Amino acid sequence: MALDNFLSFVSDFKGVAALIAKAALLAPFATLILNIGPPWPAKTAVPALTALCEVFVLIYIFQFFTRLSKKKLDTRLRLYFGLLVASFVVYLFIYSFFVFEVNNDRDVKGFILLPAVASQVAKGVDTPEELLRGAEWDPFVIWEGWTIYAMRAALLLSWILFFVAIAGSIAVFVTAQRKTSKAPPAASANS
Amino acid sequence: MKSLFAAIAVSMLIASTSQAAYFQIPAPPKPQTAPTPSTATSSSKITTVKELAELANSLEIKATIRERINPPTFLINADSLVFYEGSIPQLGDNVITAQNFPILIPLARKLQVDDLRQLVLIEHPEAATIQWQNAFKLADALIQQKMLAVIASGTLSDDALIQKLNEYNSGISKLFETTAREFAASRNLKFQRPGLIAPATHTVPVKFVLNPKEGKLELIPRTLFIVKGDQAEQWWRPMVEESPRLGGDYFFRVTWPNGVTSPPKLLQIQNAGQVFTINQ
Repeated sequence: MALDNFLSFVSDFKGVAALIAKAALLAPFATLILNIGPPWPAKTAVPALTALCEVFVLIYIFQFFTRLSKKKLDTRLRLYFGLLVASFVVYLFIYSFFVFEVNNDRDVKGFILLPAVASQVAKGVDTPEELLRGAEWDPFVIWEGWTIYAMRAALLLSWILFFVAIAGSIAVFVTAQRKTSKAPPAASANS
Repeated sequence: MKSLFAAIAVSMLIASTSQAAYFQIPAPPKPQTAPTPSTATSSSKITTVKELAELANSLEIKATIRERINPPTFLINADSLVFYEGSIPQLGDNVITAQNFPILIPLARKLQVDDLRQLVLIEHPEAATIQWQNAFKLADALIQQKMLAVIASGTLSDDALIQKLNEYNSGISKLFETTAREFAASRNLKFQRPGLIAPATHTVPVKFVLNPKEGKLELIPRTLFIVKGDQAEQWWRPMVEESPRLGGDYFFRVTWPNGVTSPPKLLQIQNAGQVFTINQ
């Protein structure tokens, strides 16, 4: 049943929702052209990983959500919308504060300065960004390594969650619509 | 349905390509007749360090290969000895590798030993003690009697041979560090290792033109210069390449043929292909 739902959904070339879902699956690859994805782990690995996560979310939803009532599906849809907005805001925040561009490439900063660098910044002569430039753009010379790893992971996670939320929203929406169209009008609200 | 499978297939393909880029792809198999000096000189015939030095000369290994990002360091401060044997040069390329041509391992080590010998015995006469002279003799002996001998014997499999050569390499490194520590102790100096520099990633090729060209150019990343303060001396890097890859801000200084060293000046790398002309 779940497989049927899933296959009929993805093979429906006419359905607008199905087309949007396919676009959502391919959307992460836009970063290869637009260069807006997380710089870590690699430019091509990020969209591939994101698309795979989306596929698994679609599978999960068609397997476990089709049995849910319309009311529960609405709740799930709200949750996915909430996740979508939250992850988008978090991604924008992290990207704008912790990603730097250099020579057509990008890298991630940390958030705790190394002691020697912190004392230099405290003198008010140089900013961390100026010191980064003077360190051959190597963030590990400026910030504690674990803070750089943490920001890399947070950036990747928020990016993946954003696309997972898109895929999830569409899948839940489609599931809810099918339930509505199949169920008798009187029973649809209490199923 | 087709588009879904296409998306998954593209994901898998890109993921696998990405992995290949992230990790070093193993070098392709050795060509049967690689037109290199390595094949011209059969490695099993080289059994002495003298022949190894002749091979290095015949290969015309450029100074740029000898000069590397972490050169040997021998610096005596007020109460400390800062020592590093120098990174071993990377010889070969994607095709000519140490796996294919094990002779590259003792050859690279020989270059490193010669550079360190030049630094310690020639440029620091106060260190030309019997202690250091013996260390260099022993290093040459290890290269000849162990590394070259085991290659010439042809008794080990490829992997076992590489492993054995790496073991001898480690032994030589320990020899130099032990000697440096003993030297420091004999002079009541504190033994220190310099900070080593990892290759920078966000760099672009730039060009330096020195006038006169015999000047010796040295660079240090600006932040290291500021943060290290009085300890920054050991971080200056000689630039022997005309077109090195650099990124960000540096300080530079030049030691001219008349022995005068210019005061450090700021150098900012803005874009690829920048040409810096430095006049005396």
